[in-house]
Formats: sequence, structure tokens, C-alpha cells
Amino acid sequence: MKEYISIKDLNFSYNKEKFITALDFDIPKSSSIGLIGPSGSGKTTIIKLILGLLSPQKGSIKINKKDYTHNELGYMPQQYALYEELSVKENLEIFSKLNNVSKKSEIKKRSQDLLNLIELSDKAKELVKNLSGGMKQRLSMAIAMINNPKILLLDEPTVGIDPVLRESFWTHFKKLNENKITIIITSHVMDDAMKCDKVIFFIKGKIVAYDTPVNLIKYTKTNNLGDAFVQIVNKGYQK
Amino acid sequence: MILRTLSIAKLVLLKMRRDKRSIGLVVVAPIVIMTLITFIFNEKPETLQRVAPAIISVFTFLFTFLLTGITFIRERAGGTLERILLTNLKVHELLIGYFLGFLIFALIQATIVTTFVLFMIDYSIDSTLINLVIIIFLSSLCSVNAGIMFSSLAQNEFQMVQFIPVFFAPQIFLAGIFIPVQDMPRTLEIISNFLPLSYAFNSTKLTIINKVSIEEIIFDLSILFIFSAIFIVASSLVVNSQKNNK
Repeated sequence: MKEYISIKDLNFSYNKEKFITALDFDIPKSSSIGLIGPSGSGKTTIIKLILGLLSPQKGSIKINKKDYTHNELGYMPQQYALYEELSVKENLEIFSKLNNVSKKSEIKKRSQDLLNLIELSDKAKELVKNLSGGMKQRLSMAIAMINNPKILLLDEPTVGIDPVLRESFWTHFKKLNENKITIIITSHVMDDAMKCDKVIFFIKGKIVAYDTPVNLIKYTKTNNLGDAFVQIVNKGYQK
Repeated sequence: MILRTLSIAKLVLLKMRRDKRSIGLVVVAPIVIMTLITFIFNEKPETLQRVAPAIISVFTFLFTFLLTGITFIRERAGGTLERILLTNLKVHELLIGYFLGFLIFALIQATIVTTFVLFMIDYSIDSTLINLVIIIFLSSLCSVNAGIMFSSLAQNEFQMVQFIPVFFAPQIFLAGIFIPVQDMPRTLEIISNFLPLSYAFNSTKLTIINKVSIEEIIFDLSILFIFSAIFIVASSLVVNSQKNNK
């Protein structure tokens, strides 16, 4: 597959301490890429570097070989980041308007489509503070998609949701891939990693392996991704 | 631009309207405090003449500062600030939207406080009322942006409240409320000249006690405007650094 997002020699330090070191990888278009690693490995930092919320000390990130704007990106943060005092519909409306969707009919259509997708149509008028954690998670994902992004960055999107809903999320992610949307997901859940087209294993801000889940298991001669990860951490990864 | 700015103003209004504690702070607290002050000073008109302008200027500054600061801390802590800054919203649109939203609450508070005060001092309504409106507008502009600026230094709502003694106590003591500024030691007089409340208090006093025309308080209003501009620049830098997280 052709490269779409290209990250070259990316370096980032927190308080002069190197956190991301000489990171190099390409992401193909319309794929699901999993950034997998333990807490503090640098997954969220990479997402924030792509979003432009953090500036690298060195290196570049290009999309389609060009610089890019955040209009092309959709972001779902780890915390819900929702207005709790507003209703589900009002949250979608406000983020639509801030993304320059001004026509009422367009806002209504987008909101309704997304509400159908996240199965919250019946909760449209409910205040967010009265929703369950899983519902908030779904609404947060809908807001990430409100600007019809080309790239969707999801930071731990399946935390706190039940297995049935996780499955429906993944069905939807695959549909988004079919519609030429590239998805980057951070997770420490190996079930999520298995569903990605490719997985990047991170340890302390460095890539230790980047391959398809099937290859990672095959070349480490293990039975599952969890074991493959442990083996790669201990012995490295070689095809 | 207008759509995004008005969306932020509407957001502030909706959030505040549905937050009972904030409504209490905006409406109930000034009524309770002003009722109390009315009883205390009812029999002492001379003291009242001295404290009346202080009540208006301090209340306008303090309440708006607290409300904006706390709301902004919640935005930051809840991740919504980061999220809205990733949309097409520009920093100046965010600040104008915030100001418009909070201006309405600041005006509600100021109306309550001012009505009480003017009633207590038997103020006859005339053209100087427009002076008060301008003073309140500029004081609100100042305190909204000061609130945003100071919120960046606080990690939580409790720390924001702790800024009251740091930011307000010196202003209250040095604004000329207790001792006229010209009677203070030279060093304190100089410091007083660098505090926005000094100008808000002086212009309010001249307006409601001496009934001066707007020309006579234009210097105070200009300085208040300069302070507002400084706080606007400072709060823009704060939000920009939040956006870039550098």
C-alpha cells in the first residue's frame, strides 16, 4: 500500500528529557493502524504531535507528502472532553458550528447520521452528565467525526465500553476505511490490536516492531499478540 | 468568524444557566451580600458614601474574575479547551465569545449591586448613569481576561480561589477605598497607579458621588482600557501556549 502519512526522524523531549527518539514510519491510506504499548510509552504523545498540539524538536510529519491542517483530522481524546451541562444534540451542534458547518439543515443531518451510528438517537435531548460512561465514549467519537475527517485519531477509544459495543465500533471503523478514512488508534488492549491492519509496538518512545498482527504472531512463533509483544520486548523482532 | 464567536458565547450562557452553583454566585450571592450591606450602612450615610463606589467596583471585578477563571479551569481540566482549539476556532474568537457570554452575567450582577447601592445613597438617575455602564463594561473586560490569564497558573478551582488574596487584596487596600491614594506613602501611591481597581474605583466614586461628566473620568477609563488590552494580550498568549503546548 502507498504511504499516506509519513513521519520522518521525529524527536520530542519533555523538559529536555528525550521522550520520542528518531521515529520513522509511514501509514498507508485507508488503513487502521494501532499504536500499542504500555502506559507512558509515548502513544498519546505521537497522537498529539500529529495533531499539532505538541511541536517536535526535530523531524517532520507529512500527509500525502504535504503539510496539513487540523481540518483534515478528527480527534477523540482519552478523556471524554464533552460539555456535561449540554445535551447530546447541543454538543454535536456546537462542534459542528466551530468546524464551520453553518447551515441548520446540514448540522441536523450530520448530527442525526452520527447519532444513528453511535446508537444514541433516543438520547439526543439528554444532558451529557446523565449519560453512562460508554454513551459518553460514543458521543466523544461522534464529535471526532463531525468534520468528516480524512484521518481519525482515536486515543484509547474502547476503554470502558462493553465487548458488544467494541465489536460494533470496529465494524464501523472498517466501514470508514472503505470510505478512504485512515484511522490511528492507541490502545493497550490486544483485542483492538488484532483488528488493526498494522500494529506499531512502542516501548519508551521507540518503535520495537511494525507489522501486521498475523506477521507479528508468525515471526515471534507465539500464539497471540500479547505473547508476541512480550517476546519482542525481551528478544527484539526479526522477520 | 461571527458564527464561531457567537457559538462560544452561547456555550458559556448555556453552561452557566444550567449550573445552579454559578447562578447562585451570579444572582443570589450579590443579593444576599447587598441586603446585608444595606442593613449595616443604613444608619451611617457618611460611611456609605465612602464605601458605595468600592462595593460596585470590587464586586464587578471579583465575581467576573472568579466565574471566568473557574469556568476556564474546567474547560482545561475536562479536555474541552484542547478539543475546541482543534476546530476552526481562533484564539481571539474564543476570547471574544467568552467575554460576550460573561458580560451578560457581569451586567446582571452589576445591575443588582448597582441598584442596591444607588438606592442606598438616594442616587437620582441622570446622564452620569452612562458613565457607570462604561465603567462596568471595561471592568468586566479587564476581569474576564485576567480570569483567563490567572486560570493558566492554577491547577484546580481551589487554587483559583487562592488568587483572590494575591490579585485582589493588594488592589482593595491600595485603590484608595480606605485611605485616599494621595495620602499613602509614595511607594504605595506608585504601586496603586499600576492597579486597575484604583481607576475603576476612582471613576465610580467621581460618577456616583460627585456626578461628574464623562470628560472628567476619561483618563481613568483610558487606563482601564489599557489594562484590558494588556490582559487580552496576556490571555491570548496563555491560550495560544495551551494550543501549542510549547
